[in-house]
Amino acid sequence: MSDSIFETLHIINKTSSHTALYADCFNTLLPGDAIVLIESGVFSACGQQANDLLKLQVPLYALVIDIQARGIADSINSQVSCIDDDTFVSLACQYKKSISWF
Amino acid sequence: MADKKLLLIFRNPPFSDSSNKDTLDIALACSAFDIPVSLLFLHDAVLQLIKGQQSQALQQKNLINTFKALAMYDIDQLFLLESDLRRFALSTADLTVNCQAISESEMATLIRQFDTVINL
Amino acid sequence: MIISLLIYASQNSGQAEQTALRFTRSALAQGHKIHRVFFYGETVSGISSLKVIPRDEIDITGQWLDLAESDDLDLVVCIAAAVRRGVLDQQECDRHNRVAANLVAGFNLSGLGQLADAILSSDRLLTFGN
Repeated sequence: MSDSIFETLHIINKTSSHTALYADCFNTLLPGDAIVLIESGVFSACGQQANDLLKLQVPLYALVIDIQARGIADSINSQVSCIDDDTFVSLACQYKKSISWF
Repeated sequence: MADKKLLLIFRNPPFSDSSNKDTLDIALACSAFDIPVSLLFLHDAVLQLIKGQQSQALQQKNLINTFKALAMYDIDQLFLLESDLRRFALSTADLTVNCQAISESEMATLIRQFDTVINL
Repeated sequence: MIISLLIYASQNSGQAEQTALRFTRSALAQGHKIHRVFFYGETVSGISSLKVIPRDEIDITGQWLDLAESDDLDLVVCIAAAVRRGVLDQQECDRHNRVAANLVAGFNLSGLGQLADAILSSDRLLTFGN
């Protein structure tokens, strides 16, 4: 179980208005990483922000509980994987480490 | 217990919120537990390291002396981005501690080497 | 897997602590071990027994306690962060000659060494902050 094949899980909980935060996160991304959008970060699973994130060519996840809380379930980009808390925990285990961007 | 390499990321300017001091305190505590600690200064965090800070009149704790003392705790792996230095028209000679200036892609590779990253 | 959490958030802004709590519940339900939850920075202000929560709001501190009771969680509050914010256990209250100890029973004040230990003892450290 400790033999993770995936590298770093980047957890973002702010909207894309936090441009420096997003830039820092993007600069540290490498193949093998993934991004999880939580809390206010789930707004980035919609619209142009989602397109920008998907261009990074890493798996993109968003917490469904936070999506539903914000009334944006119908606006989520279809290429974003909507996940529950259990999958969030599984990802945290599958990836060797996490970096929280807040 | 397995060896764990720790990277601490600073992102805020001096005299801002408590995250700078809180991160520095983690560095000192983990070093005391023989955890190898490296520091990465991103964006405004570079501004904490400028030489010649005279902050007594602010009546705020200045972290610069703690940064200077890090080498005594065997914390001597300090990194920052060349692009941040350029943005603020600084060079590593303007800074009060020895830092390695790296590119964005070198940073991404650097982060891969750590087991744990704390980014307050 | 052995997991520890670092919580660095204000109870008055954002939902980081709620997310951390849900993460912890889910991890425990999946059979992972939560080695420690370390409360740091502004988070510790909320771990006061003097606070009064409006009746229509959730008592997140109480929820941690419920979880600690059912799953034997180690809830550690950074002593330096707590004392400077006026969150004291009886020992710190006596040491600093203050009028009352107010740390919520069930949480323990300790040093950053407990975070270092959590890093060394855990397979994963997750930070929840705002």
